[in-house]
Order: sequence, then C-alpha cells, then structure tokens
Amino acid sequence: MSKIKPAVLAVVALVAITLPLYATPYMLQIATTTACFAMLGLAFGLGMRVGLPRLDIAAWWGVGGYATAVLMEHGVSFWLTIPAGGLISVIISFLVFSLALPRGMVAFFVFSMVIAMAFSQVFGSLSFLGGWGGITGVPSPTIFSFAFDTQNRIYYLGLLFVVVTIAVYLAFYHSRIGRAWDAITSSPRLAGSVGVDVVRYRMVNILVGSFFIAAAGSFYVIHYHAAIPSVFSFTAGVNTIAYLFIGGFTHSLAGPILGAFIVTFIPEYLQFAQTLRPIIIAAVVIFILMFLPAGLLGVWDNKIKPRLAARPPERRE
Amino acid sequence: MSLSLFFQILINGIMMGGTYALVASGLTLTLGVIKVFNFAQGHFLMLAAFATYAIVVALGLPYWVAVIVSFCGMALLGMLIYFGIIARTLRHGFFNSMLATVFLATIIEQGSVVTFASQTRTLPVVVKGTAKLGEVTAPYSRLLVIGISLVVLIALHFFMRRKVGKAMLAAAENSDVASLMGINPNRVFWMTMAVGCGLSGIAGAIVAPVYGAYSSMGSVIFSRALLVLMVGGMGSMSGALAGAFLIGILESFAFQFLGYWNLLVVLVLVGVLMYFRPGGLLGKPMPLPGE
Amino acid sequence: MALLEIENLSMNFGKLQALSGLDLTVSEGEILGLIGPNGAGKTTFFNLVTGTYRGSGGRIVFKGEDITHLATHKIAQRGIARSFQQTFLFAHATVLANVMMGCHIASAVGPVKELLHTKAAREMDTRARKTALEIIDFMGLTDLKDEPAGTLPHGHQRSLGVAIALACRPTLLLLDEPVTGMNPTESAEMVARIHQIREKGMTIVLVEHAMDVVMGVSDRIVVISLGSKIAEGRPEEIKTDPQVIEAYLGRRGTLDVA
Repeated sequence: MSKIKPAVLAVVALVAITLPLYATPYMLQIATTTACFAMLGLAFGLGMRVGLPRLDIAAWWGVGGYATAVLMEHGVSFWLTIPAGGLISVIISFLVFSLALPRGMVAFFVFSMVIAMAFSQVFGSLSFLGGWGGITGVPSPTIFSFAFDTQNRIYYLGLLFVVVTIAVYLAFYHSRIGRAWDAITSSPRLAGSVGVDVVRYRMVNILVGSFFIAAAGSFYVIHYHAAIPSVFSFTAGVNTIAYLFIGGFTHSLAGPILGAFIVTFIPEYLQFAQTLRPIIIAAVVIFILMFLPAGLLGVWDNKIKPRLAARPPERRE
Repeated sequence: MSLSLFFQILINGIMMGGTYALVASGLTLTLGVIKVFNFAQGHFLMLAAFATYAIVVALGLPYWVAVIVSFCGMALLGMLIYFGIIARTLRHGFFNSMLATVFLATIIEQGSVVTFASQTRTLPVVVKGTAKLGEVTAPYSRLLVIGISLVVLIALHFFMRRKVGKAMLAAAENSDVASLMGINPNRVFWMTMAVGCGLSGIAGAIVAPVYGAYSSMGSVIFSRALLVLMVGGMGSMSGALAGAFLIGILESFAFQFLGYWNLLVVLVLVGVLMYFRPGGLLGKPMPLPGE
Repeated sequence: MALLEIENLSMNFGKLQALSGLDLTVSEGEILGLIGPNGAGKTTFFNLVTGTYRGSGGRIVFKGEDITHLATHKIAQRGIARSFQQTFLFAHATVLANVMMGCHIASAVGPVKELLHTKAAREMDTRARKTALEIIDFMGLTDLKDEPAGTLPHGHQRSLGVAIALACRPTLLLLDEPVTGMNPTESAEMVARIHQIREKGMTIVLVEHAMDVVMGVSDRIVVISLGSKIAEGRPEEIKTDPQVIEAYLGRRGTLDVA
C-alpha cells in the first residue's frame, strides 16, 4: 500500500510541473484558480485537525485580497502585502476567537459565521475598498525586474504558494503540536487531562490558518487582477468547504486538493450555465454528505483500498 | 428627536423583532431538539415571501390565505427535507447535517436568483391606513406584522406545553432517554422541523408586504437570527425571544443614525456582550454533542 | 506529609447537592481508597480535583498550592493524573500513540524547534517513545502497542487509560474504578500493578466498587455518603463500622462483598 502513495504523488507533481507545456491558456487559468481554492481547502482541513470547522474563511481571504489590492494601488510591493494582510487577519482572528474559543464549539461556529458575514458587508460598503464594484486593475507582482505577468508565471507562483502551504502544514502535523491537535480532535477531555491546553492549541491552529487564508487571498487578487466583494462573500467562502468534503476531510492534505480540482476543473469542461453551477455543486455536496460522508477519498479508504490489499501479493522476481 | 419619530423607529424595531423572533425560535427549536443548525432557516422565509407575492399579486387571493399557505407549505417542505436529507445525514454527525442545510440554502438562494432575478417583488399594503394616538402614528400594516408575530409566538408557547411540545423538549434534553419513555424520536424530529420551517414561513408572509420579496433576504435575516442566538443564548427559546426584540430595536435605532453601518454597530455591541456574558442574556453556553 | 488537602469542598448541580463540606487529606506515598454507595459523589470529587468541575465552595490544596480554580491542563502539568470511569481514549490512534500523548507534558522543546524538527526535538521524541514503551510493557499491553485503541477489549482499554495517566509522570494518581468490568485475573494483575506504582514513588487515590479489591490494596479508606465523609480509617476498622454498613446496606451486618 505504501507503494501507491509516493507513486501518486510523483505523478501529480510531474503533471503539475509540466502543465504549461501542453495545456491551453484557458486550462492554465483554471489550474491556477484551482491552486487558489486548494489553499482555502487546505486551511479548512487545518481547522478540522482540531475539530474546528472554519466558516470564517471568506473573511480572511477577503482581508488578504483587499490588503494586496489596496497596497499595490499605492505602489507597495506584492511580497510585502502578503505579511500585511496576514498580520491583520491574525490580529482580528485573535481578538474574535479569544471570545469564542473558551465558550465552546457552538459559540465558535456562530462567531465564525458572523465574522464572515460582517466582513462580506464591510467589503462592499467601504468606498475606499471600491464599494460593491471592488478594485480592478491590480498589477502583476514583480521581483526586481522580473514580472509575473504571463499566465505561465502566475501558474508557477500559485504552485509555489500551494507547495509552501503544504510544507508548513506538514511541519505542524508531524510535530508535537500536530499530535496535540489530533488529541484534541479525538478527545478534548482526555487531551486536557494529559496537560494539553486545548484552547491555546486551537488558537494556534486558527491563527496559522488565518495567515495562510489571507495569503491565498493575496494570490487570488493578483491572479484575477481584481478584488471584488462577491468573491469574498460568506456564501462563496462556505462553498470552498464543499471542496474539502467532496475530497474527503480525513485526508487533510489530499482531500482539499482533490476536491478543489474536481470542483474547479470539471464543471468548466461541462460548461453549464454559470448560474446553475452553484446549484449543481451544492446538490453534489448534499449527495456526498448523505451517502459518502467521508468524501471520495473516504470511498477509496473504505472500499477500494481493502480490496487491493486482499489481492494476493505480486511475485517478486 | 420628536416623540413621533421615536415611536416610528420603535415600531419598526418591534416589527423586525417579531420577525426575528419567529425565525430564531424555529432555529433554536431545530438546534435544540434535532441538534441540527438549520442554515436554510432564513431561506424558508424568503420562499414564503415569494409565495405570498405569488398568491396575493398573481393569483389575487386574500392575504390571510397567503399566510396560511406559507405556514403549511414551509412546514411541509421542512418535513420533506427532514425525510429526504436530514434523516440520512444525522447519523453522520452534527456538522454533516449542518453543512447539508448550508448547501440546501445555496440551492434555494441560487434557484431564486435564477428564477426571479435580482428584482425585488413588492406587494400591495395589506391594511391601509395609519393608527393615531396623540402625536404618535403607526401604519396599520406594521402593527399587523407585530400582531401576527405576537399571536404566533403565544401560540408557540402554549404548543410547547402540550404533549407534542413536551415531547420535543424531552427529546431535546436527551433523545435516548426520551425514546425510553415511549417518545418516537423520528416523529418528534420531523414535527420539529415542520414547526421550525413553518415559523419561518409565517415570518416570510408577514414581512413580504412591508419589505417585498427578494432573493437575498434569506441570508440577511439569517445573519440577524445568528446574532439573536448569540445574544439570547443557544438553545434557549425565551432567550431567542428577548434577543430578537432587542436586536430588532437596536438595529432600527442604529439605522436611523448610521444607515447601513448599523449592522457593524450591532455586531460590536453583541461582541462586547459576549465578552461579559458568553452564555447570552438568558442561556448557558450549549455544548455540542460529543463534548 | 500531606500531599493533597481538601477543605470543606462542596459542589452542587442546581438543586442537587453532590458534595457538601468534604474534608479529606491524602498523605504522600499512601494508597487511599475512596468508597461509598452509588451517587455518593466520588467521581464528582475526582472531577473537582482535576479541574473539570468548578466547585461551589471549599479549597483544594496540592503540595501546598491552592489549585481550586485552576484549569484542567494546568493541574495536569502540576502532577495530578487520572484514569476515567468512562473510557476516554484517543480511539483512532494506536496504543503507543495514546501513551505517548501522556508524555506530552514532559517532552516540551519549544515550538520553533518542534516545527523545524531539530535534533533536540527528535531526541525528545525518542525519549518519549522509550518511556511510553516501558509503561506499555509495565501494563502488559506490549503485544497490542500498534493496535488502534478503539479496537481493544474492555479490560485492556481500562489498562490503557491507566497507562496514559502514568505517562504523565504524576505525583498523584487518581484511579476511577480501574478494575470495573475486569475478570478476576485481570483484576489481580491490576492490583499488583497498583502496588508497584506506589513503590515507584507515586501517591494513589482510588475509587472502586469491588470491596475486596479496595480493602485489599488500600492503606487507608475514606467513606463518602451523600456528599460528605462519614468514616475514615484502616480497612479492618471500616469493615465493621456500623455507620458505613448502614450507608451501604441499611441494616446491621458486616461488609464482605459490596
């Protein structure tokens, strides 16, 4: 079984790296968008690692996006806008969730929903953020004289963002902090008993997630060269949760990526009317919630993998 | 500020408070009994508002027909959704069911956008004229909203005392113990869902003549309902009641002075309240199943 | 020397008075048995000591420090560990991973070093693993170390619960019904281990319904009924104390079997 995982990984990596060689520009653009949504899905997965469903994703996504858009309008380098947006997100997250986390799960839910709805409202209402039309004409990022102004370059930048995100999350998951997180999800009561400060560890998780969600927002905005309130709306944010669920949230890394891929790529090729797409995606998610609660990777885990293991081992020559 | 203006704002606030109370009660009921956070609670209101429009304007039937159809229609829809979706997702956990309602809400809202576009449908005033008490005036249409919501809330109160209502409360406390007492949890659950959605339905019917029917009203009202739950305490019916009127009145006054910034102000105030009284005004912090 | 001092501890759930004015002292190095009829307040007492519940009055002093209002994880960090009446385990993790979690407190290196997986972090990990394996061995769970905790039979799950508590290297170990549901062989093994744990220097308070076990293993016994202490003393004294017998049986007699 351990032969499959590295093999799949290698194939995926290969395809991802060589994509610009054979993909159409349109396909590349979608791939870049997929990378974006994958980052959001990964952050949601991070939250689920401590048993916290992050309905507030849209808020920080928007903060990162708008921070980048506004600062770049004033000539700030893209690379500085990332920590700027990230820092704002982290600070506000800390303030809001210090109220919510000690009060329990339901409080957390409601707070995160409310904060996302509030930000949706704020993004559209403030005139210096461009009102409901948003900010357009966001320039491409540059390093010295090298500009990320072609689709290829942006795609690779996106890939880099995803890889860095995954690397950081992995470092956490395989550390003592990650083990504490797993303990908290498994049994908060027992975790507290062995000395784990549940609230503190959850807060760390939230803050890390908020930072990376903001970073995803920063990237999104230079990919589409615009920051528009409807993109960062609460409902849009909630839809990113769909990706994780379709993929399967028991796999914090593979699940969101698979889900993001399915949700972004496939409908484009089926070319349904834009307005019907959310309905179809929503219906698919409901189907999965009802019948495949562990997502597609769950089907793999529970149905396909055991069958493969039961086959007689291949002969070694 | 003149007395007349003050009362106008107050009446508006109580009116919205009554509406929020209906929606929040339904939400609390569903949350407490079935342990499902019905994200689509506001969207049933929206559907009912459109239905009311259709019945009154397109079909030309009297308003009271629309109110009754809204209640029954949404109750029926709630029941169907329970059997169709929730019954299945319940066994997969709280979050599963909640997410299912989230996406249901998406379907309903998108469906509405596709069918009705972004235009608000307005309805004719149900009761023309204005009441006058000295300097204070209040349009009958708004008083009607308050009236109906109060009647329904009182009816709900008595309903909870009847056998079915008590069964719901028992199941809310502990559905295993309740079933040992001979209460069929499945039956209680679909009835709860029906009542919860029905309440939203009535709310939609009464709010439609005042504010019209538009696709995003579901989310807008739901976000207020969330605030109500925070303020009143999760799982507390009386808290939802108190919280609803509080939020409604607060919002109304804030709108008068700050326009569309009122939501932010309300949010900040709720945040402050949460700091000092995390369980809300009357409720206690409600643990999720599994804590 | 008094390790744990309970002064006038009370706890009520609304109108229900679970504990009223409990006074208790646990001396260092002893094995104290806590017995009493069902609902007397024994598990409530444990929950109060570990900070899971907030009492409505009284004081809890551990090693001279007032821990009455301290949070659970802080109390755990100060050296009080417990096993649970209901089985709380990290169900999807292996037995080894479960016990290693217990070592969590002791193996802190610092977050940055942790994330970078530095040598120091990895060494800590190795040490934690070694300690965990020793404890697993001690509790007789070595064969099962790689099994998911949730798949273990009941008796082994309880042993695992004790193992997790031991991994915290506590000064005071609270055992909540450690042998309930075990067969006589497993029971006897657990009793032997309890003695060995005390020999390693830990103080133990145990709650148990199996009278023969409690009487056999405890140095001293405290009897709780309806939320307060009604007797304390050596097992032989308690067995024949008329108040205790009345609390349990409601009539005169002797206590041989619960």
